[in-house]
Amino acid sequence: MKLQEALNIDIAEVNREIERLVTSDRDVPGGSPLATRILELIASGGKRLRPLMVIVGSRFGNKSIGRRTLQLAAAAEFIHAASLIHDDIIDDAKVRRGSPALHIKAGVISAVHIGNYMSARVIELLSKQARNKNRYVHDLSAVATAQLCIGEYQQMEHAYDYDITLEEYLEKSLNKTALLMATCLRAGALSAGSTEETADALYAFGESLGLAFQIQDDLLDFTQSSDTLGKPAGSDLRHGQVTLPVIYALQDPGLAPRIRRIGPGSSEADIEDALAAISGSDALARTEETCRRYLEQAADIAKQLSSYPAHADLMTLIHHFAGRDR
Amino acid sequence: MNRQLIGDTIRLLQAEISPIAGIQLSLSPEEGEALFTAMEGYELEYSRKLHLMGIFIILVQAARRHMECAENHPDLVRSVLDGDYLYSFYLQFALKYRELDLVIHLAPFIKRQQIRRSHGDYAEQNLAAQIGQFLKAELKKKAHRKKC
Repeated sequence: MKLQEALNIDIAEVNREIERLVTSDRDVPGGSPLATRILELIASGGKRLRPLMVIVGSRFGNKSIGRRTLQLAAAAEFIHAASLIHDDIIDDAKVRRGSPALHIKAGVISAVHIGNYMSARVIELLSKQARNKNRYVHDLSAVATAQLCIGEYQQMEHAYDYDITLEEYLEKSLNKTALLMATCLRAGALSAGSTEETADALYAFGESLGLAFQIQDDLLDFTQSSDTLGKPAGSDLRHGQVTLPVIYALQDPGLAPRIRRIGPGSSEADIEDALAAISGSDALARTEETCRRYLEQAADIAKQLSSYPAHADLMTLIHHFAGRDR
Repeated sequence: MNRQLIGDTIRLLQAEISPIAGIQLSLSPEEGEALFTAMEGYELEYSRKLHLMGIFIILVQAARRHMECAENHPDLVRSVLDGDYLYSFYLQFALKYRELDLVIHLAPFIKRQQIRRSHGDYAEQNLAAQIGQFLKAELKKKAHRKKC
């Protein structure tokens, strides 16, 4: 069963709201290259995790899900999609969801500004409803996006850094992935009139869940085929990203030299050797164990919210994340 | 005076910008001239001028970094990231100093600039004039409130 079905969320309605962000913009003529590129990107798929989290968060409030929550959900996906456009340029990724990445189709400078348009559109729409009492709305477009950038800076700083500590890795993952998820849950809850205390608990839940998600992503880079990933398997190591499986493998003195010799100019044979060494070690099992611990942490936080019927949705999220394809 | 305002603003911004970004901001008095002119005649407190200048500098620099994003630019990654960070920093800075109304006013202007640039139209737009328009509207609103 798909996550949106398990959560009883009409994903078509969410998709329509995401599309509406572009189609309702009077400054963007229908059929223009900008509108076409964005609508293609939206139609190319994606799990819509962030909008789902906004909606789940809203179920902890005392108001029924209205237009504002849906718009917030769509905005969360827009922010995420804009960051993916820029990420693909930063990572020099040629493919996104099985198709050429946007900067390959439109050119780099155009793609940068298409991503900017998406962020600017979100600010245009949300800032009007974000007078001081609704500052949480800006947590999405200001705080969460700033943290995304900081996570990218940290990733850049630690490229091919085989001495990165576990704490540094976790901080980077929190910034790059978990905080936006946490912010989605919190903003969704506050948009529906939840208490600050509940919204904060949801934020903490999102942090743990988001970290588990990122750790799983790191694992999938080792365990899934290029076809399934939509990008070459092992691409994290190829790009110098020292992820959790690599950190654990580096603790094995027999493996460390085979990993440490990987740099920007390494041969394919050396990279394949390092990938095989990591895959054949206990690093993947240890990474899974760490992921499981974060999911347990999320479950503990979810328990604190068990008086809400929507508590079941948090458990659904945990079960879904625990069962992601290996 | 103008030189001092730019210097004080840069110091304020550098103190608030995340150190990991390592961004060094600058603005020449010539570049600031348009905003000085736009702020003239509004009896703004020095701290308000500082915040408006801060917003101006962040936005000018963010747009500039992203305009550098040519395919073969040696610092492409850095330019994308710095521009992204500065746009989010703009919002944080504006909210911190209670300039949400200015954010609302500038939002369509900034969005249209991105649209034009995504289409390959790189002509400079007059940000200072937009801030000037905002100050004019703000003054009008205040005068109206006083009358009521």
